[in-house]
Amino acid sequence: MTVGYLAVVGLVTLQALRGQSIVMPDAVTLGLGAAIAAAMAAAAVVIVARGTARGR
Amino acid sequence: MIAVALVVELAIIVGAAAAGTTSHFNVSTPLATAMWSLIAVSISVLWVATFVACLVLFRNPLGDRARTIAIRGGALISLVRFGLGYLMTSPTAAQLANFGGIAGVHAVGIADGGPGLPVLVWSTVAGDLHIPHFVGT
Repeated sequence: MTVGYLAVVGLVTLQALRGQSIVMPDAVTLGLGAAIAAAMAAAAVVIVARGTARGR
Repeated sequence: MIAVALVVELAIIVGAAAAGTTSHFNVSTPLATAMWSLIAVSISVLWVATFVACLVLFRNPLGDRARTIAIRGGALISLVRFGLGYLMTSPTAAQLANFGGIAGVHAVGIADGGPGLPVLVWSTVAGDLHIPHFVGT
């Protein structure tokens, strides 16, 4: 999750340095944001599944 | 050390706001330059102290694995967040060409002070380095 949060910080930094407003993200920003969200959701599923398996 | 550096910075920011002037990047008068220099020193001390705190946290046991990852992750994010602040401290070409006492900018591509979100004042028409600096907090 630390990696995901740092990725979000990196994404908003990249967006700002490209001169793009936070309220007007382009396709690249949206795509990267979606990729980060998907990766973090997948990581959360894996973590929960491992925890459930250990609990049995 | 971290707390002292933050108190110094916040005291100057509040003082400048109360005086109706800008604290950051303001080198328009000898007093403003001295205050901005003091902020620059305090944030540099803050970054170094946070870096040292990170080293200590990464070299010592912190309990169970989840707790260790959470604490070290938070420290690392703080270090990155503080470091991103330095991206804003260089004067732009426009500021150098027509110097008006401000050397540094939050916005990217335009001057500070344009249209922004309510309360947060993040630019709605250009890039704004306030955002990563804030998100990393």
